[in-house]
Amino acid sequence: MNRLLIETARRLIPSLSGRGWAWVFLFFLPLVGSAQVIFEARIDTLVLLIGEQRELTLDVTCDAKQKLKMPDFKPMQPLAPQVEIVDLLGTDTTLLDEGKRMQVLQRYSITAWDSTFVLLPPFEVEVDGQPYQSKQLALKVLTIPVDTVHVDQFFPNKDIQDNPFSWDDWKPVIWFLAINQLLALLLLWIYSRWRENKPLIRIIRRKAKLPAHQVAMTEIERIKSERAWTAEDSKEYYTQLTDTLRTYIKERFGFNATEMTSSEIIEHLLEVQDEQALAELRQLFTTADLVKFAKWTTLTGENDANLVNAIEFINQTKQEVDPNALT
Amino acid sequence: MEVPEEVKQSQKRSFVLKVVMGVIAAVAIVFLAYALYLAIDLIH
Repeated sequence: MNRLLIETARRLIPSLSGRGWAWVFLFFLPLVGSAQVIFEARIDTLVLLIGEQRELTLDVTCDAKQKLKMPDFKPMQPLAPQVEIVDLLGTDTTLLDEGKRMQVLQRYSITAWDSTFVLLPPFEVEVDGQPYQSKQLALKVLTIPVDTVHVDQFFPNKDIQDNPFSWDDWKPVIWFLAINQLLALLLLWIYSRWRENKPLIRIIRRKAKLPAHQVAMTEIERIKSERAWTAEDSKEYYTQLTDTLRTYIKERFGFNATEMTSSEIIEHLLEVQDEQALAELRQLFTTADLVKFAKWTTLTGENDANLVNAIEFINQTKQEVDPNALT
Repeated sequence: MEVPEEVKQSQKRSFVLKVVMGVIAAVAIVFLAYALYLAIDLIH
């Protein structure tokens, strides 16, 4: 096709010089090159040791639309006397020129079994049914050099060589055994839980602690609403009321009021409160002691008055909790 | 006779724990077998 184009140009422009023809050729080269099939066979070496494996590459570049048929060599298929295919290493296809052209590389491993000079016959591919041949490949096969000077010196076969110890080889084993140990421990723990009939996870919900004054007020409300207190059960009434107050004082002021007498409690409270503020509380405790220990009978309405005194004392001394404060 | 709720819970918990133990034991056996296989392969 190149020749045809050049001949056409020569007829049309007969006066062109040699350099002019070169320019004309270069001008038409892209048109010619786009349809060209390039086929090349190559080996990655010219010299091969007997039995050694090297790579043979068949490289075809053609248009992407063209139908390409590559040779199909099988393992152990001879290419020439004493030269044979070992295996197909792979076939790679690459699209070129934005998908217009394609390059196909087919790689084989080959070997030779005789020390000789071999000329591999041309390889053949078909593109759109038209055969294309590669160049012949020369290969020099060498044998193992023999020590001809010391022909009587023989060496026995070498022993099997041990591989050097490598922790990397043993890492998977160690990891699997370590995971196994963890699983065994987990199994033992679950087994013990199962034997004790206990759940694996115990959900503990922390109860928010109510402020002391809220607890005390709730308790006083309960005492108040429980029943109509009569003169006969005043002792029980005052026992519950003073117990509630003692618990509140213990929580609020931090001393063990539940284990103290009434006068001891008042003494402790005097350190933080004035006498005036504690007068009603002192009255309440005195009445309670008389009812509890001296069979004192309270007057009508006195119980309610003492209840109100207790509520007032709590309200006066209560400590509000900051809702934003961390618990 | 109706089975109490606590007994039901206990039976359910026992069943779940047995299943969990079975799964863990199976995984542990597979891991151990594979570790032994690798070790024997390396020794030979």
